Amino acid sequence: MGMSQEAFIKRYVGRWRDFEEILDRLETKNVDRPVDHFPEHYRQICRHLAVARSRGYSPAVRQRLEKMVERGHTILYGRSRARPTRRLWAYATGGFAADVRRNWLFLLVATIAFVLPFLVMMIWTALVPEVAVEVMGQGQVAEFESMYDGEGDYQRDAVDDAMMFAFYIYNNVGIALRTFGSGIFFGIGSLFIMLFNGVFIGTASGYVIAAGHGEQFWPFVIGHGSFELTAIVLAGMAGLKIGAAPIWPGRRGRVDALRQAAKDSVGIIIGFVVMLVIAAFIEAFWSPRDIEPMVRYIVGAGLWIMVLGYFAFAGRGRESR
Amino acid sequence: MTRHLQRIDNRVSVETPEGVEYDLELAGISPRAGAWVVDFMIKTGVLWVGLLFVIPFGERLGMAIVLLVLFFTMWIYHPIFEIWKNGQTPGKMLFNVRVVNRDGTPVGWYGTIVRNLVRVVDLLPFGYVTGVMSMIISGRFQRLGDLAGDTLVVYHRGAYATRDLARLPEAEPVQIPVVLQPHEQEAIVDFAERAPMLGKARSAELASILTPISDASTGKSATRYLFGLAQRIVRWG
Repeated sequence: MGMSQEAFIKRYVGRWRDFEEILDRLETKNVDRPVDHFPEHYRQICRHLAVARSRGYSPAVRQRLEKMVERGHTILYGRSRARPTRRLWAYATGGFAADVRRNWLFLLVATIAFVLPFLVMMIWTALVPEVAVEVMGQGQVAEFESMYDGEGDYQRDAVDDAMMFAFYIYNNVGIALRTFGSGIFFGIGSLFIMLFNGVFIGTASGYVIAAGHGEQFWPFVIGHGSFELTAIVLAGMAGLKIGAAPIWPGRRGRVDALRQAAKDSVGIIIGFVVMLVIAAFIEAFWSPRDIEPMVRYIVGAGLWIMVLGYFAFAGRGRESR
Repeated sequence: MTRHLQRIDNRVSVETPEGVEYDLELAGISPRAGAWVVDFMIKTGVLWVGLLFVIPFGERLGMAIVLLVLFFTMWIYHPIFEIWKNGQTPGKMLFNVRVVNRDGTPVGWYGTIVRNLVRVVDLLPFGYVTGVMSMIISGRFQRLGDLAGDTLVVYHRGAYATRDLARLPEAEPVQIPVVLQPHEQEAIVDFAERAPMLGKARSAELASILTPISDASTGKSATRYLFGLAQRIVRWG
């Protein structure tokens, strides 16, 4: 036999007030220490709600309990208390590389979509420099010309470095994030941006070679290229991943497959953003330094080996989850 | 809450691991658009103030600062606020909505990063046409970013979720004449709450539908009778 609503309220209203007070406290202050008996208290409220519903108690009672359950649920299950720094460290030292290798098929497609137009346009423009004007327009070509012709005695200072750093962050990270985001429409956006970037960067490189500025150009780009170009390919990879999920959902529903792919991509997104920040730092503060080209080639080659070695070997054994 | 009422009120229920359910009230297009406009104005304002502020730094350093501020407003503003302020940007606070995971828990890094990056597609080809279409089709007002990030935008302290007894029209509680099912009780309380917004004639018309139980009275007195009934119900009688 159930008790009447009146008796039910009389008996438990004190508990409810206590619990509401605890909720107020937990919601306003960021309490890190666990509150004594919070889970038990919360589960008792859940039982009260179930009882109130099954016995048809009035809406006001049920809604008061419902609100308490909602707030308690948020607090109890909301935030993971795992130490984020430790997880971040584990991810940086191998989880990231393992994530990338797990998506090798998308990595392959993204790499081809970027590298193929890059090589084609670079060789073509190097042989037929007029192509550059067709692709980039006269103004941009002139700008490139002035960047590498080695003439003019303008001395770059620290303020220039800072400005370029800010520009590379704004521009490159923005492009990479867009490359990922636009992948949701079946990967078309990502693919397009990859092709476009490949064509543009390839044409620019080819033109600089044709104009005979190679010895200014290569020592400049080799340093940051390792982080920057790899990160752009990774952005394309993640974009293709979320684009492909609804097309080939496997055993999941299409929306569910999309959710899972997006969730799996977040680590990769943070990874390529960090890589681009590193690249911006190198490009702004190291690449333009007037150091012996041989030194810059060696450092650049070292960075390439580091990046590729990381993705090839770091976190072996963590691929399968 | 019964299914059809959920559909009318745009609610979705969330089941907790304890096996009880509670309702979230989904936010539609207009509060979300309003929140977006407010956020847009705040971001634009920050950028303008930034522009004035950096003038003394000179052209190049000023440019560097402005580019970083621009980057912040484009990519970091929304995720930071949604994490830090429990799913609410300033615009969402003003419109009383917040972002939650689909299971009703506060949105985390995964959800907020994904939903805000996919924004670049939701706003295509102009004015969030893609996002709005997705919201209409999804049935839970989810734009593509919400689908991918597994998030919902819901009312923070729901308009109906926190029932304020003081907001019911004053009336002398009356005896409940027949056994009322929970959803019938709820409908009566809902009616009493919303009657002031309906206008006198309309609420009288609706109230008169219930003449079989409201003692064959009509017109204004039927409305008052239902108010009294609602008062009786919410006083845990």
